[in-house]
Amino acid sequence: MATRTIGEGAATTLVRRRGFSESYIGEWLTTTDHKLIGIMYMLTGFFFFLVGGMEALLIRTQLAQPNGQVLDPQTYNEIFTMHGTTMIFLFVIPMLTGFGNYVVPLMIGARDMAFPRMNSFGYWVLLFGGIFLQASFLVGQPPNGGWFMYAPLSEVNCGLHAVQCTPGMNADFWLLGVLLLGVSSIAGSLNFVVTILKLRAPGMSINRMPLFSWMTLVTAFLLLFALPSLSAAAVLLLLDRHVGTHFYQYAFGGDPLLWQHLFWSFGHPEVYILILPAFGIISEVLPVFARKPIFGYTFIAWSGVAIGFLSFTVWAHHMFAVGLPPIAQAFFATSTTLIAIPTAVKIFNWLATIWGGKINFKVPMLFALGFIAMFLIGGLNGVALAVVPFDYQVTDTYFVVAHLHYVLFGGTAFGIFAGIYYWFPKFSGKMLNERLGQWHFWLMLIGVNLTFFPMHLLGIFGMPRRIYTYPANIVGWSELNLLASIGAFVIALSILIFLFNFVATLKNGEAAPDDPWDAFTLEWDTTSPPKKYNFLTIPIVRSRRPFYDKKNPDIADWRSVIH
Amino acid sequence: MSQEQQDQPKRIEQLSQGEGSASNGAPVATGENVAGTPKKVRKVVSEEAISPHPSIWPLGLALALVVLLIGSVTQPLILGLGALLVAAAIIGWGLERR
Repeated sequence: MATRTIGEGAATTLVRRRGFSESYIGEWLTTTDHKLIGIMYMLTGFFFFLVGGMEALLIRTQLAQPNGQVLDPQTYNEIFTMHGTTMIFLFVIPMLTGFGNYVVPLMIGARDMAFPRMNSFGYWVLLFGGIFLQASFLVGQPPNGGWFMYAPLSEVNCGLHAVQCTPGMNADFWLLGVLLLGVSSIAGSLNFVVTILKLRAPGMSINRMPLFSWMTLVTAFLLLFALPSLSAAAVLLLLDRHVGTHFYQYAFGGDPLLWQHLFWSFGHPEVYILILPAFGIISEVLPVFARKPIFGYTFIAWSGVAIGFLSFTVWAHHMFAVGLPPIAQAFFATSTTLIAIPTAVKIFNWLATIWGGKINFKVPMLFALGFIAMFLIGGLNGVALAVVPFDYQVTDTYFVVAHLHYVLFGGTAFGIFAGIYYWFPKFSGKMLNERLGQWHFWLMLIGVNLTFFPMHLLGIFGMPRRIYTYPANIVGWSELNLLASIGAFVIALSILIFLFNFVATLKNGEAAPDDPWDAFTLEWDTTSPPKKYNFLTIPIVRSRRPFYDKKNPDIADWRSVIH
Repeated sequence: MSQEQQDQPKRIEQLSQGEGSASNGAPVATGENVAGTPKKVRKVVSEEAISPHPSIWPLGLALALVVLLIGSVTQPLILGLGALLVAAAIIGWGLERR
């Protein structure tokens, strides 16, 4: 068996009946290949991005003018709840997991993930969890308690007088959905940890590992440590709702703040779970398009680890307004400010990477640069929110909405698109159209700022988040909301251009060479798309830029740099 | 730099440029260690031998899990069905030839 060759295998195929797993549909349903699973993750994530995007457009249409009548209050609650839930759990996490699945084994010189069937299981649970959540619309009971489903409002009944809170299945759909998605994330994270720690190519020490793999590793640990808190919170709430316990009901000796503590001790690491892989993508794209090695590799890698640790110490900054003791407020304000330091270290290193480089402004680079600018705004207004008196003023207003969207849309979504444009040739063997990509980038950049920048002002002017409409007589609200809604449609237009580009490229796109960007890392040392076994011969790594070394043996990094 | 150190990169280059690939293009499992010193063991293996086998059980188990969770908040009957399906999927997964 060990000496069989592909040629012998092919001869065997001719004389036996094709199995289900060799049919077109069967191959997708039964695959354990990390590349196919990665593609399925990404396609699923992008589909849910479109769903979440349409929900966002409904929200912005409703709010475009005062006294809006597009949605009734109940439907508005459902739509904003599902928008947040879909974008976080069903778009960003699957997209980033998809990138990780496809790229990480290639980057580290492995033939597949450590546990291929568990990898497949993680994907299918995610898909069914997503379908389950969205199916709530079909039965008319979608979740309606916000993406953080605060108890006791999400209980069936509240208080001694049993006032009805959420008697329908709305909250159950959300709780079961996030439990399923949690199972998926645990399966995926375990796989990433073992794959990255155990399957790296010979010579690829942890200090030579590509930064995207580094950030995926940190993210996987964050998920493993953060998710149990959410799962426990969800199970306790399900017990409250169906078994008659009262974990979150003050009137019966429970504590409503317990939900907030449990949720946010997951929820804030979650923010970094959503952004760290994007940091990794940017750290891969910038050096290639600046034609320089990454500046401060060690600092970028370990600042990711520092962010990971600190992310577990900041959760209660979401709860300043609940009346925490001053010492707790001081602690969480300090830790929140501290986390800006490793983040700033990354931004400094990215800028130093492009400083003096021969910058090639291809679309992946544009999105990477856009990411830095947008994330910087989101980071700075995040630091402002760490200041407790300021947070008191703007808590639960549109200022917070502006902050989280600059981080998660201006940041993560730009990072995701940088990754799509960068790795698409590897995934598909085709080059996305550059001109359409530029249109996509510029419209998205304009749209993001048009949508989310006015929200800072709306927040400062006192507009609460999650209100389904507003009167016409409040100065500034109407104009700023209209501006934000126009921006949302500009973003939608940019996404339509991307979709057209995507479909047209797959149909008639220019063929991509194996290494279209003259890149540095091992995934480009394969065919586009790679063969099932990835590498004919497992590569040997001598530096942080193994493929660069292979292409430039005379000036290889390992000749001059020791790391 | 010692003679041994000078020689190592040359050998690594040769290997990474496909010196070790089989004449028919089959993937090669090489046994180089981290220091770059090739071991003597080198095997030519088939694509099937080094690729993970397809399996329907991950999909089956995921579906069973959904049924189980829906059953936990709806009908005991669905819960029981879900439990049976989960058990069947785990057994099927475990017994599958790899």
